[in-house]
Order: sequence, then structure tokens, then C-alpha cells
Amino acid sequence: MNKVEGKIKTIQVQAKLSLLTVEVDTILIEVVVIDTPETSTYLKVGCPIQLMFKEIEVIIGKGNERSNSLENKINGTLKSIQHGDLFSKIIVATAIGELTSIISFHMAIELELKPEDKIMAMIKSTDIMLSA
Amino acid sequence: MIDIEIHKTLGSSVGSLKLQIETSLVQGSFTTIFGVSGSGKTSMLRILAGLLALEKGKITFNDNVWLDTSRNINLKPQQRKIGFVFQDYALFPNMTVRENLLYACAKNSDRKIIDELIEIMELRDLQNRKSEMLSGGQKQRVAIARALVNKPLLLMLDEPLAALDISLRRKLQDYLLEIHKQYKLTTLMVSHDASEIIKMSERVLVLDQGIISKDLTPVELFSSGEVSGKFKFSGELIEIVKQDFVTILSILIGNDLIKVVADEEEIEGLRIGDKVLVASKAFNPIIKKID
Repeated sequence: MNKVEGKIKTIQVQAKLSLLTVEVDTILIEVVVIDTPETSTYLKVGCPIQLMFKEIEVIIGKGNERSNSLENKINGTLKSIQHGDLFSKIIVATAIGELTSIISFHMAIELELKPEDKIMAMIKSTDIMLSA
Repeated sequence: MIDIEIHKTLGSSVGSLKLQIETSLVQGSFTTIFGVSGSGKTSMLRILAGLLALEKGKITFNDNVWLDTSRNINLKPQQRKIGFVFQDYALFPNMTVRENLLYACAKNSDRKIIDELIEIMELRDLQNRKSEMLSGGQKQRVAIARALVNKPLLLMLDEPLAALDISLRRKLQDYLLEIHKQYKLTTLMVSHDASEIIKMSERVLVLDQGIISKDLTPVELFSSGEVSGKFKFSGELIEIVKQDFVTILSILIGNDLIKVVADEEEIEGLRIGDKVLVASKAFNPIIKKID
């Protein structure tokens, strides 16, 4: 599981949903949760929070292609890649720390991923879980 | 139901501690008392057992009054139907296993239970052995059996397994759960071991300076902070299958078996039989009406 620490910067509430931006170092991460400041005491601007998302939820793009709907795009460098039978495990060094991604083996081959490649790690805002 | 009201000032090396406890235990439940040394855990058990006097209080088990200071009622330990297991086994070393159990058995009581306990605790091959010849785990099995010979209603365990190594501890936990269920005991345990508490008990009372500061489930106590996932269940780990960089965990939640993909770091320290928290965001599941 990927875990990064940040601070809540903004909260936009709509009925039972909240859209948060969380500042991790200088990067802003967008998260949507089915919680509001009324139901969760830790939903407060300035509150330190841990973001958690699984390896399988980290999407890997090559280069700097930004034309897709994924809310969180984080630039990085491919640090290491290991291949299994079905999956490949990739570690990307980014401004918010090392992120681990698990993608299918054949896509890793198709994208010709190798160490030192410039990579975009992407995570949907609805895939990130919070822990206070 | 056991209703407990305790007011007692305890003297200690660092000053006095006011024990003020008001709680109820549901019959058949397994509750752990958790807290730092000197928070009053052992004193609470000793008061329930009738081994420690107190200034003011009331303890009732269903309609039986064990203690009521306002009416001057204070039953002796042997009248309270309790079993007590401590960290040290306190067996008679020169008696055999069976003799230790017979000695603890109240006069005129049904001795059939001794054979039953010898079976459950797997002591049959050891029953004629002197207890001084037994290993630590074997001695504790005898001590647990001895605590049950008089068919207690309330079983109290004061860090019973703390002196044993981890594999032996897991085994004895299974024995304790077995007898808890079989004899429909109400069990109260003092423990510091998170995995033991999650495995054994359904409720935790956190004792802090003589008062109950928290009353919650083990998963609530040991979950690392609040998790925002709206899909949260606790279940029992049934199977672990490794595959490439992921691991498929089978988890029994109620009567439903679910499968979860986990990564290497998440499964560290997990073993079959462990109780686990399963949490997910609520954006992925689909809903279909069942006809």
C-alpha cells in the first residue's frame, strides 16, 4: 500500500460528499470521500492526514501526456522494475516520495519501461483513502 | 449479566489510586481489560473474586448478589462461582495433574467434569505425571482446567499466557476459546497483546488511572487511526495465496467468504486465523437486487 502524509488545504462539500485538496510537499492531491466535516472530525483545513492507495490503483504513463481524466498526475522517474508472470512491479521516484505501482506484465513490455524513464504516476481521486 | 460497581482507594509506591468502575458484562461475552501497569486491572479482578475488600460497591451476577456494601453482603471467593488463572500456574508440584484437579474440586460436586476437562485440554497422556515434571505450556493447560473444575460462571484470566512463547500462546488461546464457548463462560481477561486481544475478545475496557476511559471493540482500539473507507468489516483470515507481486487473501466475514488482493507489505505478520479489518472506498462496488 502506498502511504503519503499531507495537510488538508481545501474542502468543498456537496451533500454527503467532500472534495479535498491535500498538500503533500508542494504537490496538491485531490481526494473525494463520502464524508463531511460534520461526520468526520479530521476533515478540517490544516489537519495532517495520511493518504493511502493500493499499488494496483497507480496508473503509469510514459512521458508527459496529460490529456486524460485522472485527477492526480505526478511526474517522476522510474527507479526500478521487476517482472512476474502476470504483473510487473514498478517503483517511481516522485516529489511526494517513492510510489509503487503494479501493472500487467504485457503493458510493461509494450511501453518498454526501463529504469530512468520519465514517468507519470496517476491516481483517481475516488481511489484514495484517508487515515487521520 | 454481571453488574459491577467498584469504589476502592488503592495504595501504591507512587501514591494512591482511586479505582472507580461501573460497568456490566453480558453473560457469555469475552472482554479484555487493557491498560498500563498500575491502572488497577489486577485489583479489579481481585475485587470481583472476593480476594480484595473495598469501601463501597455492588457486584451482582443475574439475581445473585455477590457483594453489596450497603447491605453488608460479601460472599466468600468460593461462593462466587469464579475461576481464576494467573501468569504463574501455582500448581502443587508433587501432585499429579489429576490430583491437582481433584484437589481443587469442591466436595460433593460432580467429578465427571475432570475427565471432560482432561479431554478438552488434551491432558490424558499427562494426567498421571507430577506437575513439577511439566513444561510451562502444559502447566498452564492444567491451571486452566483447574480453574474450571467447579463450573464457574465467571472466568478471570490475568495475563495467563504472557510467560509463554508465541506459538504456544496461540495454541493455548485456542484452548481458552474452546472452553469459553463450550461452558458458556463469561470471561474477563487482562492482556497487553494486540493480536491476542483481537483474536479472543469482542470488547475491550481500557483502564486508565482506575477508571474506564474507553469501552470499544478490539478492532476499534487497534486500527491505526480512523480510516475513511465506507466499506469496513472485520473478518477472519482463512487462506493466503501468493501470486507474482500480489497475494490473494480469503477472509470470512459473517457467513460470506470474500477475496481481497493485498500487497507484500500489507500481509506482513498476518497468519491464518487472524482477525483482520477489511476497508475499501465505496466507489467500486456494484449493487444488484436479489430476487
